[in-house]
Amino acid sequence: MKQAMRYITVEEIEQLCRLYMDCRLSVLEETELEYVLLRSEMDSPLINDTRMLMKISRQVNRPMPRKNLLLTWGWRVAAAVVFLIGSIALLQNRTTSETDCIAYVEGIEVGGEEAKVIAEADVARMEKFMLMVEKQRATEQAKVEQFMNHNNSSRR
Amino acid sequence: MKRLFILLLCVVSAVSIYANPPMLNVESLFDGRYNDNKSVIISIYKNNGNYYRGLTIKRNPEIIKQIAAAIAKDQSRAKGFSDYQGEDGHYTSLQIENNGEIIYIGLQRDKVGSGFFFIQGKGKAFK
Repeated sequence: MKQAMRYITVEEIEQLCRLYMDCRLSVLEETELEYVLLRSEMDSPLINDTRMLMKISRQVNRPMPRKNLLLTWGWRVAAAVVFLIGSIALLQNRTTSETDCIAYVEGIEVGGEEAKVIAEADVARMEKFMLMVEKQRATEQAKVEQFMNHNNSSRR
Repeated sequence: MKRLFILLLCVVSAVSIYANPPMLNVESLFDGRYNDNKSVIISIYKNNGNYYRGLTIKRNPEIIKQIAAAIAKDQSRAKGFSDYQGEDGHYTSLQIENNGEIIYIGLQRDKVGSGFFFIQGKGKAFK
């Protein structure tokens, strides 16, 4: 390449610059031209314009440094964690701050004191239910024991 | 972009797991499906760490059937179960243990399709 540079003329370079501007060079040819322009001290308005365009193009195409990439990912992960914690906190808050008492009577939502009265009546009914079930269980158990005792005494 | 999508998916999954679906089949009966039903009275009550949910059904055999089906599905998990015919209706009762606490489930129903259903336990039992 260095040897080639010795023989290349300003006109030839300008010709290449025109081709570059028209996007008619391959990626390899563009890279070679870039190398030539950066190494040589040739000077002409077209060559200078091409140099400037190459610098801009290089800045645009330059990949993001790994450090910045990690930083970006760090921010994304941090944002996701914050979002997760926020959602959990929101859900917890929703659960704990949920109304203590709520009722729906024939399709209509009822709150406050009225809901509390309904709920307390229901709770009392539930307690009665549980007592009744327990009583029934005890009765059944007593029957079983009585049956077993009767069986045992019959055998004797 | 793909990695971001996967990350978001993980976050959404984690949130979904946290806000998990009802633990018991009977709990799904309180998902709002009967809120507008005129034959049902729903009551939800939290007091001193106790969590109570109840349904009072007036002449709606279909709902009674759905409740009985949900109870039947949870029966395999029950620590205690009783089912008997009383003077004022049929009584079904389940006790399910979770998180070291007992969840009490009961259904009282009559022949015309009316009934009373409840789930009760410490708040910890439902976590």
